[in-house]
Amino acid sequence: MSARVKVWDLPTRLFHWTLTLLVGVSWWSGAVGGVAFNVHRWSGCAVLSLVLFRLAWGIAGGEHARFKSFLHGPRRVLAAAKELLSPSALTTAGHNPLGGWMVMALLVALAVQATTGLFANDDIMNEGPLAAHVSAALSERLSTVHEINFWILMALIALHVLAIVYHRLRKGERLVVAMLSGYRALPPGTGAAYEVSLWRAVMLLALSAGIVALVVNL
Amino acid sequence: MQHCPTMLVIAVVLNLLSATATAAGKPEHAVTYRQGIMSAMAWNVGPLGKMIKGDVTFDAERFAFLAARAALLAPMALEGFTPDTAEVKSEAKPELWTHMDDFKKRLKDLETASAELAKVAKVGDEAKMRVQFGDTVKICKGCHDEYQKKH
Repeated sequence: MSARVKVWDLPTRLFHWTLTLLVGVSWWSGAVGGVAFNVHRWSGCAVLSLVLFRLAWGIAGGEHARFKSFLHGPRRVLAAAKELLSPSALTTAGHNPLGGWMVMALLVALAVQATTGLFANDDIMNEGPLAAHVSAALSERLSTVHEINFWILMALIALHVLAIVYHRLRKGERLVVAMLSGYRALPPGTGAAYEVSLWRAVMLLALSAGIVALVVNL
Repeated sequence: MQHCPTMLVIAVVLNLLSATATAAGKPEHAVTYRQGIMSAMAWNVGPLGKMIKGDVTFDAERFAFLAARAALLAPMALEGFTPDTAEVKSEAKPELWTHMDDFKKRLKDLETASAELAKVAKVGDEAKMRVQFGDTVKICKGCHDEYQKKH
């Protein structure tokens, strides 16, 4: 027995899938390089805006988007790890304590990637919008971090996707569908998450994008 | 007194030896040389890229001038990639020395592409310049991704 419960609000879902798309665009435009750099610069700024938005949403967003609802200490993380191995579906409505830290790891890796990109250069003809403000040596070092962190980010994304596949196969949980529709099958009696006004999301996103626009035009 | 000519001969021989070494090029000098060519290349390609990306206004005349320089520099790089420089600290990946044929082919492609870029730039057809510029820097990046160490 299970009930369909709304867990992910619209801003969180839009955030997730826009970010997914932008990571793809950034990857492609970064790999092509050269004249595709305008796209790379644009998508990098968009990623940075979204990460800032998500940090704000983690404080002022809907129930399951809030950090305090999914970031827990080692004991609960360990318990979630044990629960992960069992074939039964998870009982946490939002991110489980293990997945919660994955969210943070992904956000941190994305923040590092986008921020270092602002100062990086490709040794050929392209540089981030703030590269001119730092020394050539620092730009070199940050380019290296941008390069290495790309692989860290790829590894985290791979782990994230594998975990989703694992949940589907082992526990029968349709997490992709949940992130698309917002609804999950949960034990009956699970209350719907509280949501906040959509306008708050619009304001926070506008604020985040505004900050990024100001910074890159320094 | 008798020692003097001997010392002089030794001094002259040593001097000649070191002069010969310099003329033939110490490996470190070859590395400095090729890094100089690459720096000069970036010096000219950078402003071209800015024009193409729209960071600065497109100036066909300046474009042709810089493209001609890049075309001149492209065939000069290979000379600095001598096998004896493999041990010198540089940004060259170890694979470069085991894939010399591929590396040479890439440099040849760059030579052809940059010569073509200089040619279309001289004619002044902006659309062709844009396409050819994209094709040329693609060769730069392909080779950097393959053979340049990221520090």
